[in-house]
Amino acid sequence: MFSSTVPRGAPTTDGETMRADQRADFEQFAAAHTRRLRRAAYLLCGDWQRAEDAAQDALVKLYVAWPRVQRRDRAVAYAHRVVTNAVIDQSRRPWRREQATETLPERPADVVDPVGGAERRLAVLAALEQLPPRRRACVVLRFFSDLSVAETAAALGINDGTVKSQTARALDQLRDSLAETGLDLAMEDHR
Amino acid sequence: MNDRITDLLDEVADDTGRPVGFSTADVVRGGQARRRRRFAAAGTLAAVVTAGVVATLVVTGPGEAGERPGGFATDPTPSVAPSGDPTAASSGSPASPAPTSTPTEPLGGQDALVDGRCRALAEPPLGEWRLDAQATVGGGSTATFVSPQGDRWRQCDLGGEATVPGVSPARPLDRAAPSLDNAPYESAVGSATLCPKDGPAGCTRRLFTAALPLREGVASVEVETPSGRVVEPDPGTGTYVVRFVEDTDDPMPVLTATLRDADGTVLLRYDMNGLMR
Repeated sequence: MFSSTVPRGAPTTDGETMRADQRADFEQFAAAHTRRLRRAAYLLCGDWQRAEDAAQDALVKLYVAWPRVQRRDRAVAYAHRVVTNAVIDQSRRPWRREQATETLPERPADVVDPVGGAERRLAVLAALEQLPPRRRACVVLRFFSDLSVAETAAALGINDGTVKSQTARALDQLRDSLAETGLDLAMEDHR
Repeated sequence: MNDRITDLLDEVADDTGRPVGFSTADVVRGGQARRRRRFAAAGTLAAVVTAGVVATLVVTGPGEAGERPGGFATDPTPSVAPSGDPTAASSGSPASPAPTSTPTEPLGGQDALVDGRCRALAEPPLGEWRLDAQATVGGGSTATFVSPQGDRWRQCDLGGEATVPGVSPARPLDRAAPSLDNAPYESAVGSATLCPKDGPAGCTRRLFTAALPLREGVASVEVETPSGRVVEPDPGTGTYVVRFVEDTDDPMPVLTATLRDADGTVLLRYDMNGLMR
């Protein structure tokens, strides 16, 4: 076919691109996951505004693909995949790469007070920012988005072994970075 | 101090008190707009590829003695379904009446031509799969093949398409009875302009095509075209193909399909482009 193939379904009942019940399902999904997607995007980019843009872009794409994604019961993994790609796409845009700032970004102190929540957040965020994009995505998708190795591999377009190795290296790197600031990163259970 | 990475990430991404700056309604509107743009882009692409494919098919016609070139390129002759009856898919202007064509070549000739070309393109090979339905009109063919077990089908496109001619992967053949909640939507009704790139201004000639599973109990199908014509595709054993040409500038018009049982009772009426709108 020369049109995009659409998933099998029923005719619309509201004159829109999706059946009413499918749209209701999507709206329910969006209500439940929007904030989680935005948080994942923030971990990937460290900027709340960019994270919000990425989350919205991901949900728009998810809406277009909703009947197919919903049928395959992969909506959560698909949404996190799209939000990851959205963040990566953003980072490729010049106007996103270079942001003028009047003041230097806050940097973590050399040694963080382990009980200081704000400082710890800054330290972890700084450590995340030192990771290469793929390693960072592996950590976020595995340990925040709670995707499996296979789902993470599918999201990033890499194989399972690469996910495992990139995740392990990312954790090593994070551990080293955080150790310098007084945080001890425990080993995670590798599912 | 041990800090699990999951806890640390959760803490770093704490957005307590930060409202989301968009609503679900914003997302839905964006999704609908994106879908419309995608469809429009597909129509534009169709114009370019159609021209190329048509040219190729003209040059590489079958050349078999006693056979026409299979209706490719510019031949608008309605095609013949494997059952031997002429398909109702047709070409022509909106003012043209619905065709009641008769085959103009030996029965099976067109089928054999389409079958052979699809088999040459298929990857993986079609093997024991059989041609189930086909329609040749408007510069190309759309055909369907059904597996020996009758549980899967593949779609073959030859010319007149915006994608490279080829055979789709196998899909399950859904024979469930049609209903409003489960209408046949295996593939959208695609459309492509047939107007030459440097042709006259105002040309709105457009090809529409779709291949769909023949649902349980369905004996006949009618599709009302934008101009009000009624196209009656001839079903195969498990599928049917809709293919016609009309003058319209709407790439995604309302195409009302009516599915009837053997007694003529209407089983379902629905807009074949409904999901795209």
